[in-house]
Amino acid sequence: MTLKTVSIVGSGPDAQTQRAILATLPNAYRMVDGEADVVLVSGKDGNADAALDRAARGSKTVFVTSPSFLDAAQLTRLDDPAWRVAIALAYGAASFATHLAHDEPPAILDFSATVANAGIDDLREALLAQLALSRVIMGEPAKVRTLLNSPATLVLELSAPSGLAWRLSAHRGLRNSLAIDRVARGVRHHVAIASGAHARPATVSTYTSDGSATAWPMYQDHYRSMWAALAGIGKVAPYTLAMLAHDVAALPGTRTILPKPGGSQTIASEFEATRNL
Amino acid sequence: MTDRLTIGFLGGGPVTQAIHLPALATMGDRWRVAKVMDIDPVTAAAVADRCGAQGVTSAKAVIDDPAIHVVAVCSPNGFHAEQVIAACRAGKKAVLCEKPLAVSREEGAQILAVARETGTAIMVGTMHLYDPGFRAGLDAWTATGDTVQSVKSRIFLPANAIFTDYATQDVPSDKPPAGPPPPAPNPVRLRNTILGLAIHHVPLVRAFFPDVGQVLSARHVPGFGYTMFLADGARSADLQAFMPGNWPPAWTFAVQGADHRLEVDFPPSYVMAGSGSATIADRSGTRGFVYDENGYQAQWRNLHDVLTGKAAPLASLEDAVADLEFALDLVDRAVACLEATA
Repeated sequence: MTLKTVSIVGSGPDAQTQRAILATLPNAYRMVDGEADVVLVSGKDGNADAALDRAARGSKTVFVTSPSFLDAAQLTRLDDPAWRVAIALAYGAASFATHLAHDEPPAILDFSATVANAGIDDLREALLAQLALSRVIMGEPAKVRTLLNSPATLVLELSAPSGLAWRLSAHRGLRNSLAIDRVARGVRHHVAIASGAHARPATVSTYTSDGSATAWPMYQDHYRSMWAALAGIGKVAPYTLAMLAHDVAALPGTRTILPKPGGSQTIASEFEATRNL
Repeated sequence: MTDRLTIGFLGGGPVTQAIHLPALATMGDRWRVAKVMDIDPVTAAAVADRCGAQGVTSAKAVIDDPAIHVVAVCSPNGFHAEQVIAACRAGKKAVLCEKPLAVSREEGAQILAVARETGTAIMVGTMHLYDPGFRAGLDAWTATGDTVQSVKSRIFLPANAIFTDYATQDVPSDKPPAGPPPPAPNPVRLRNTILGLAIHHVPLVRAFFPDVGQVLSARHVPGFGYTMFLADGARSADLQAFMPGNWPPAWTFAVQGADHRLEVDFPPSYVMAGSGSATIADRSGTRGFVYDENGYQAQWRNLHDVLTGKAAPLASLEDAVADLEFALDLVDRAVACLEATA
């Protein structure tokens, strides 16, 4: 394993989170000031331009968090052949999604997140993460429409060509959480992430006529999975700039037409997608 | 024992056998079942025999019997209104009618008018409204003064027969087993699932989401289920149901506020597994409420207390009629939404 240097600008919430996570991968990453192999570009921390300037001094990878907070110009700057882009979402293409892959199509599928102390931008980010997760579980939706756009609740309805429709929602709440229900006649799944703590595992329960079974817990969130994958430990499902542009455009409140990424920026080429995702 | 009141059942099917009779058996000092009516004489006699009652095949034999204080209407939905009204006119102290109370607004209005005229107490068997866990959670929520942001009702259930086998031993019947419902257009199916399944949680939803508002999404889910999304201003309600599934039940109700979250996890209604388990969370932590009685037991207990002057009804007839109107508004708007998006 090659030790990579990581540079993080500022001390916003995303910076603090990623520093804490990187501290759990000491053989893979070392924090440095200034130029580095990897630069964190956070939409939420408000210093994305400074981070991109730093990345332009020779970084090979930009690690993007809270991308829905980025403006169109910043998203355009991300699309640069000089670096690879790794987009990390709160529960993006999380490992638990593999458990939800099932031959029997769902009769009901529902995603519901609460976000603590959330402004509307935090709710948008939570929806973006669900869009990415939904793509892993259900594939590309045929249609996305906004059902509710209020200061405390955002709701999207996605539909498949088959007519199946499912909802993604983000609610202002007491703490960070995500619940997913996948209901088919023969099998029902319930996923619960009870908080935003980095190592809080998703509880993935599968219900059948035999009763219930709970998957072995994985004590890491998607950010750590992504950092680990960047270091060659494990795999994550691909999430490309094109997907990001598509998903941001689908979010309630997106007013500007986002540029279509011109390059082939994708993490898919670097990390093989997990089978069955 | 002087306060022991008598009940006559209209309908001797699974709800009577597996829900009401076991619940009443836990409070024999308050209630005695005097008659069980069913159109199938074998069922009527067998069910009645189990509880020391008389089996009859005519509703009139129950309604006109002056020794019966309370009529329990457990017949098919289309008979509810006429039987409730007849029981009121016959001078009964009370009627406990399974949900829905009626199938039209006009019937609801007639019931309200007649009950006011005769002074008959009427309760609807929306058991979760009476569930002690839910009511404790509701009280805790009300005390917070928080504003409702969203409501979520989920009813994911296996076939009822799985639970009735735990609750009783069905009376053998010569009737052929119920097959799948005949094919029907999705709007008709959606109406049936709202009045057959969503109706269970209408009073709970309405306690936090008083008007149907706009139905922004509505879908019938085969076999017996739905998904519906309602919005009234910034407030929303998300209703989901599916049955029968080949898995354990999940019957939940949740309310999200600005600073609090109420969640209730209900056991299946056919078994006396106690109340729903309610929790209310705020930034300081979570409190929980769970009790040994289920909603049906609590409802029969409340009805007895009402009739003996010991308590007020936990829900008024006006509320029950408003629940019916909410359910019918939901039917109309959900069907319109379904047809518009088909």
